[in-house]
Amino acid sequence: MSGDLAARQAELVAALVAGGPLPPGFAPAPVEAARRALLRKRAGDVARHWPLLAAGLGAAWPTVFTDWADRRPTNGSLRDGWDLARELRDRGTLPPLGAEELAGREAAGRYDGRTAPRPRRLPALARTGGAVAVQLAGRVRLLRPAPR
Amino acid sequence: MVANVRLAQAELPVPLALEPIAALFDWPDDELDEADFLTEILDATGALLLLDVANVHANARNRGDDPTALLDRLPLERIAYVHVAGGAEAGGFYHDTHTDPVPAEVLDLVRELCGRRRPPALLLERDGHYPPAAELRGELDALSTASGHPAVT
Repeated sequence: MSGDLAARQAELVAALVAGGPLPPGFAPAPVEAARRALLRKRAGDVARHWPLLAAGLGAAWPTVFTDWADRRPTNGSLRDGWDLARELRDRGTLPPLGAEELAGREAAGRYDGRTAPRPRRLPALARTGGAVAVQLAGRVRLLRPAPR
Repeated sequence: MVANVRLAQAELPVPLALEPIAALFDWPDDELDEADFLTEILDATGALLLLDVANVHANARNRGDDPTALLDRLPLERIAYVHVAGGAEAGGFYHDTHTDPVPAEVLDLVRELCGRRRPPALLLERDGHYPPAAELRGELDALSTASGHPAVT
């Protein structure tokens, strides 16, 4: 593959998943349709990693996720879901199921928002949106469900 | 790409089959159309063809081409087996979602393909939004009927 072709392919990928400009010559509407389709695929994959978060949002999930993920390149589905759940918590729109899932994840792992989450070695308690989860020796238990 | 296929073939104890994708857009200055591209890469590598009939439908629908014209130009004798999947229209495009029912147009295309040359086997792809078992069995039966293969349900 010539270097030129590789560079053009990289531009296309950037346009599809990283908010890059449309490279010359491509039809805008079909590329935009592909970009939206990839966002929906991401929504499905993040929902598999964060099933309660997605279930809590129900029919709104694809829209909530794609609005958030648009122009935001993926950091992997685990981190994407974690970042979104924290943002919804801060906005006060995290549903109870999502709060419980986030509390469990925060109790189980340490995530700085910039690098891959790591399992906690010590026991931990996490509170999120009224939900309280505890982790002991890697096992997570929900102590208090989020208020409905 | 041919070099990559040969590399995989050299390491694999089984024959390799290549599957053309469903694409919503084309490369602006492409030199080969889909049939020429596939024929050339299959000739150059000796690989088999994994034909996805739903992708053939999606590409033809989104490009405004005739899907049966593509079937007429592909080396059907090189087909290892066939994928069939569902999809949905959205925003003026057909999306190969694998989470929707198999549309009648795709079943028609299975019939067209099997009328020309029946492939050894077909596989129904479904990746989510699973319907009740009876509906899924119905899709498999429709596939058997369209292809002329015995029912598997």
